[in-house]
Amino acid sequence: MSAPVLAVEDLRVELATAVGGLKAVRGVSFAIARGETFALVGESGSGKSMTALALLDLLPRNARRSVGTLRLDGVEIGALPEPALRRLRGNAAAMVFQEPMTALNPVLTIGEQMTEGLLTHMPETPTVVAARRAVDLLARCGVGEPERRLLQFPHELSGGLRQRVMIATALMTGPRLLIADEPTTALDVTVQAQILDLLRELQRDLDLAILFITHDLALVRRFAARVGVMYAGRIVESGPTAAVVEAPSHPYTRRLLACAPSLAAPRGHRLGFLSGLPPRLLCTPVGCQFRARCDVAGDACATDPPLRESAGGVAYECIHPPSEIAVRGPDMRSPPPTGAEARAGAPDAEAASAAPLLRAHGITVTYRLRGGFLARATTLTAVRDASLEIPPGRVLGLVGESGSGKSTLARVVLGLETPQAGQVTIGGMALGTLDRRARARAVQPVFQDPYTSLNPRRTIGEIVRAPLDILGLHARDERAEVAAAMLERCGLPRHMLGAYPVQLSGGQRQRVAIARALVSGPRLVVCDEPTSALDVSIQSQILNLLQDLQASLGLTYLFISHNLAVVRHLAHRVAVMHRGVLVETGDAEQIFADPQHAYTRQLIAAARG
Amino acid sequence: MIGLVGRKLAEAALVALIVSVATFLLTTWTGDLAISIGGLGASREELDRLRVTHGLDRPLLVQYLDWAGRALTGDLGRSFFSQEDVAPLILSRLPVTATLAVCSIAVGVALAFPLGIAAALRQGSWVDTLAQSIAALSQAMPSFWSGLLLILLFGVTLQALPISGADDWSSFVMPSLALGWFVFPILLRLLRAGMVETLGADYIRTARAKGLSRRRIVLRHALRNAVLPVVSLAAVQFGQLLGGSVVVESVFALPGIGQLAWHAIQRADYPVVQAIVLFVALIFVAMNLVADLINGALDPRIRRP
Repeated sequence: MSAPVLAVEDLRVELATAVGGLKAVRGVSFAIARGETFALVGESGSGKSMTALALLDLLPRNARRSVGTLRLDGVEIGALPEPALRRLRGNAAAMVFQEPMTALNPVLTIGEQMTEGLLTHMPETPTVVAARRAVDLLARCGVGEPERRLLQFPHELSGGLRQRVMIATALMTGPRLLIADEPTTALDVTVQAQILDLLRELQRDLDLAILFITHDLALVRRFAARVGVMYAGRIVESGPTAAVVEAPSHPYTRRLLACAPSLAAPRGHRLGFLSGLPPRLLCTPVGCQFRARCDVAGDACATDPPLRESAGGVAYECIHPPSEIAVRGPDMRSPPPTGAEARAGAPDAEAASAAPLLRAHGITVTYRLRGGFLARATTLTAVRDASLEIPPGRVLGLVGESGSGKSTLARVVLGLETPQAGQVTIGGMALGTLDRRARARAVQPVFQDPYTSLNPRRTIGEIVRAPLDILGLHARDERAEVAAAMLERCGLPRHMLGAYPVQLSGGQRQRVAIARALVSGPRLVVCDEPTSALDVSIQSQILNLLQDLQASLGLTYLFISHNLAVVRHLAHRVAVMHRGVLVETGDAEQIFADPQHAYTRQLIAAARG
Repeated sequence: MIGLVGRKLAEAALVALIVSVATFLLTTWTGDLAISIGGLGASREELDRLRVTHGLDRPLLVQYLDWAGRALTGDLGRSFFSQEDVAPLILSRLPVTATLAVCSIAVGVALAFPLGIAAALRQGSWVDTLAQSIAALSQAMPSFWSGLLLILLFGVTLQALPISGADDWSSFVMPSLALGWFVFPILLRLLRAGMVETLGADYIRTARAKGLSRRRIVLRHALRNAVLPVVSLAAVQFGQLLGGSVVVESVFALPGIGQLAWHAIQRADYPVVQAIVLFVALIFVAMNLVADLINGALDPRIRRP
């Protein structure tokens, strides 16, 4: 085998923070050969993006890197000064970033942004030649009308097109290495599949080495031959993807895999979970950094773990041999707790025969888009003639891509939006006839972003108690106790009552949001992407919590998500929305096993890869 | 872009109409014009006669239409005091004020851009602290005081520049410095904040990853975005300066619009006051229009939504 395109040894990154140096990357080593994809996977804060940025020293200003050896195409570049590094950036190695909405400059044309790198690195190139190359690459990357695109601006392209432009731009100089930092995370699932296909094709044709940074294990399985799993700034396990994913060795990898809902796993099982949070890497961390959250950890884990080899060429950093981890690890796919069996099995007769709790009929929502002062108004139909029903105690999963109208429909069900046509009834009462208190008692929301959905100036106790005060439920002096009990039920200790949202992690905040929604005892809860802002291990905690609460309180959920695996995990029935229309509704098993509508088939195929 | 220009022009025309009504009502309602013309000692019969001769007994709407109609043809009435036509009076003062405005905004921009960019590039360093301190100092200095200090230094001690009048270019050096010094801190703050924000943007990281030169990243990618709000503000400030600076024109005895306004107010010379208010308001509308059009030219998201 020829020398690897990229060889990294002992890469370290330290961030200067107000409370001291934070060791974000602590000795990372890997190599990528020509035509190979190596994936770095990890949760937020694991150091994967810092690793990517550190390779060409594109780190934020408060970060310092140090590196043992760093070879690009066999040439040592670890100690190069800034001007020499600049000649490599976007030239021998190029990057593609996550947010195609913000990663392109809004005021410069696509053409200028595509050609400026090439014209910087090869200033003798005539502009027409650079433009022709840009047109060729845009066409190669599946962008229609490439000549016209050069004169367009980023806001005139869709997210998928912008990401194609980003990739085409990265290829302008003919790089050997492509560093892709979450390149598909911000995209819809069908677009994501197209972009991955494109990257695969380009890699094959151009013999590219790709460093693929992602939080999504399912994506790694489909896209990368080898993977490194990062935790707390180190690669704790690495090897061929199949071996790592099918038979994980490190306790963290095992847990992480058990946390992720999958389209292949049996439906209705309980997700594995990771308690606690990753460590803050201040001072000089010693020993295995996962030990505080690990259930096989012992005293020996306080010393730095050795690198072990396990079957199939997998290396992992843990003091325990694989046999020990396997024996001592608990069954991570434990059955659901009592009371939840009903939801896992076939639809029980009672739920099926009962009158639906939620009935939405013929909902149509049209927005007038005002073009501004003195400009012509246009209309947009967000939801067209949508009808759905949920029996009491059941979960309906509503699936769709961004802009499909699923959140608008949720707002209608919550009574936050008045539809132009159609009617919503909850428990037999028309939503339009209820006053706001009665409506708030019947249905409550849990929103996506726990960072913005909680009032930052109220304590947790006040936030959870507020619905009781507003609706006048329970005796005044009992309300604090009711709120505290609901918080405990949602897995938050009592001492957090006096804390403010800023002091809580994302997962804890979402627990608060759920407690707030449930404290007034609504029968219907609308969950709008409740786990989309959370890491996989936290998502599994929240999904398990929602599942337990649903079973024990007999709740009814309208559960909205773009993530098919999450919906499949939780929902009894599934409705698929596409461009404002409900294209297919059916039993969850049946929809995933035998989708009828072409769009549903497309969605599921894209998610499977 | 043509659609944008048309729309903005229509908007500006509508605002101008509202402004003219407000201007008219302002002077009609703030006092009895007959008393202003006849003086406090005038008899009741004399006042009645003045009301008839000046048409003040007519309905308000008729008075407005009459005034606005004549204003449209350039007839803004006559000064109660000097009996001169008001429009030529204002126009004769415009060159002085316009020269001062152009020079002042140039001084402000010339101070704000290098300092603002340097401060943003070295955020938190001594350069940043220095730039912000200068801005705070300049904002804390009233322009009459900085004007007097300039006069003391260049006019009295060094005897290098004339201290009053508008005879040649040298007369404008000190007033422009005083006014430019006054307008620059807000421009600096806005530019610095904008640069700090855009330098942290994702597309700057993209530009760095392309291996572009620092110069191109700062000027082409960051400044091009950060300058948008600064252009709007500078245009509005320029409008303000075109309306004349009462204080600086007084300190340096410049025969500009500010000085004219000051004298007219002192003498309750309503046609002149009314005309200047209308003129300043229309300049404002025009400058906002210019700012919108420049922003449209600089920002494709406005030009081609």
